[in-house]
Amino acid sequence: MNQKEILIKTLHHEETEQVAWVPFAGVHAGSLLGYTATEVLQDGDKLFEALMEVNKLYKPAGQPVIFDLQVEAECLGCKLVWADDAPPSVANHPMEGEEELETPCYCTIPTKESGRIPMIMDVMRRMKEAVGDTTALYGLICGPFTLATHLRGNDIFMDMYDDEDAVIEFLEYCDAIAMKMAEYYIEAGMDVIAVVDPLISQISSDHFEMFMSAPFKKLFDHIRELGALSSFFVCGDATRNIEVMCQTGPDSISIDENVDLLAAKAITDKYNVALGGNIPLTTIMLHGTQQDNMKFVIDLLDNMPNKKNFILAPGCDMPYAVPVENTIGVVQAIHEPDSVREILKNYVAEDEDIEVELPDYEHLEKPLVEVFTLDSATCAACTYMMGAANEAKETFGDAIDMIEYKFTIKENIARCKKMGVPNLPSMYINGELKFRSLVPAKEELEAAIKAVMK
Amino acid sequence: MSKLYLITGFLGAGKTTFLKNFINELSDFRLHLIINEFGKEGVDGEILRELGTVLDEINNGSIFCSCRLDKFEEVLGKALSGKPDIIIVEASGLSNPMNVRKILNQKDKFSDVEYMGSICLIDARQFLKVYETAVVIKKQLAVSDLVLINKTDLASKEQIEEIKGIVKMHRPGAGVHTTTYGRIESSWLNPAAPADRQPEEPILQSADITLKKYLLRLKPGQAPGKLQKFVEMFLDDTYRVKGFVEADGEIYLVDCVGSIYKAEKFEGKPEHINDLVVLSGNGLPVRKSLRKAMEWYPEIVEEIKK
Repeated sequence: MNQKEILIKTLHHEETEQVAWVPFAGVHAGSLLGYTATEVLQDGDKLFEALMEVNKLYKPAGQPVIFDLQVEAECLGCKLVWADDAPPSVANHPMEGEEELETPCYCTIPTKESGRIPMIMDVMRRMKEAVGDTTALYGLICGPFTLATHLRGNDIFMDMYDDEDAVIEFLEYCDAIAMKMAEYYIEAGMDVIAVVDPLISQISSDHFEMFMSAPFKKLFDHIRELGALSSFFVCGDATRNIEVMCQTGPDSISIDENVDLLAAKAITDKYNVALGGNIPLTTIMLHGTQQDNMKFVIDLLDNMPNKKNFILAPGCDMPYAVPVENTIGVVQAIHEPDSVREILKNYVAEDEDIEVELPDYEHLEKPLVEVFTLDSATCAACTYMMGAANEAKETFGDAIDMIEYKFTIKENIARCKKMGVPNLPSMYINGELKFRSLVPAKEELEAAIKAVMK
Repeated sequence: MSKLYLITGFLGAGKTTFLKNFINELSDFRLHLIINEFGKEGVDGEILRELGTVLDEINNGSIFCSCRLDKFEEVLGKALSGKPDIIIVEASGLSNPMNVRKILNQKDKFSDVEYMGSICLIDARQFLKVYETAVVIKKQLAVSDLVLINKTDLASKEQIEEIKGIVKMHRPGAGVHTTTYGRIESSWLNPAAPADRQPEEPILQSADITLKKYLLRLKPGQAPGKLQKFVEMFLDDTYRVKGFVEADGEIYLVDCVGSIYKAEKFEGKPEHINDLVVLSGNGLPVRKSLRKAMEWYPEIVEEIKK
């Protein structure tokens, strides 16, 4: 049985002799050949070359062809800011600031000719031809809610309180786009359509059921009708939404380290949905050692009572600069668990001792807003949490201080530990945890800041 | 071989008036017009029909959008089979013509066409306002070979200079002329000859999701004064309001650009009467002001469609 067959069986909820492994090497693929993120996300030849390198080095059962949640937004007029070591971010939200949320014309839905879609479909076809028999290929599309946020900006969070009907209508439009994208990618040979919607972690399960259940169910049904398998990717602390996500009927769900995988699996097993995850992206994959990576995988597998319906994967898009040896450690652990167990026998995780000094929260001159993120440039949930903080900074100006701590910097990991930050993104005001994973509405954040003003 | 001119320009730039002049300039040739309007209800076609030129209309979407592209190719193919000397394509004011060369370069489909370039009309009075909000204007300028800054009698010298600067920034190689009432001189056409071509760079196609379009179906028998009051309540929030309206037993062509209301008696017999197309975009709160206008004048609109 080849690796692809193992994954397909897993997605069909059958028993397998080995756990399937799907490295989400998006921009990281480029780093293997010295290409920048921008190069692999814009140049089809370089992307193809880099993906082939991933296929060779990481021996995947499945792999995504492109990991860029901004493809659809770009087709719809969002300007992108490109980076060398991360996917692009959306620089403007065309519908932001409009007093009323009004759904655009369906004639604007991207076609196979729009934006980078022709390049992407071409690479998909080439990958299918080259490795399609042994590797399941994932076509990643931007989930309806994240797309809605790209187009409408932070205003969407207010709309959800002020104008429910308009949000429902708008999400139907975003869902129609997702369905079209799925069609294009399935036509180009994708075995699995991954609906990537990181912002799902930012809403309550009530809101999920009110706004998201219907469009996601429709989307997964559509993918199934087209003969492909599906996955629902979320990142951030989506613990409260795992069950409602299962109810929308995807073949699998993928989570990051913010969700307790074993607890989540108990739920997904109940619904017979496969679960993928959740090697920590920064602490383990980026900053950890090879042994840390091996140990994480072995511990995870050893603690999992039932490996049916499980896919090993990074929590989300792998950071650009993940050391190759770390991923290789993962590959080794999944393919050779017994020998790796041996290597790890005497292993003790390195605990780097970095001293950080916390502010004197009791005696601050003005309110201090601290935003702890994975990286607001790359993690969509963090971008919007940071967006809310930036908006507050604009409102209050010099009357407050505001700072972002990215988890990609070792010193900040130490700070997170010392502060006891439970998960990312989180927002603290004067040293107190105020918003955890949920992006606050403008008024809510302003009220919280005003409350601590002297 | 038929020569083809593309006419572009944002809503209300004066393309239709220009076309009348342009057709007169070309009266020695056999012409074929292809008119494209964003709305379902062609208004320009009605106005141009009286010129007696062979005319095709493609309505309800831009010809350069993939949703209408097949129709455009079909109509163009048919036009070419008639072997006219010149084909003039008037693109809708909301169209993004970035792919015009790619379309016309399909030699297997259109071997008998010589693309003469794109003539872009600009409304000197409105340009600086809409330039900021409407993305397509930049795209129309980017592919233009000849730019006519129209309605200069309604703009100041400073405005015109500023417009020239912006045009130059987007399309340094294009010929630029100022004019009024859409007049063109045949000598201006020379710089539009295919000598100066922008490079064939791959251009990413994207859509403008901020454009808004409504169709107001009016109740029959409007009072002209009241209709004006009604339209003026939301006119500031639009790019264009256009359509034929029956009032006091006469047909009027309501044709407003920016904040100025204009309605003139129309002698022809248009197919669609009492349909008013409202076009707006990027942040203009037209839905709200329209709703307010309908509250003030509940007797005017029978139905509003998107």
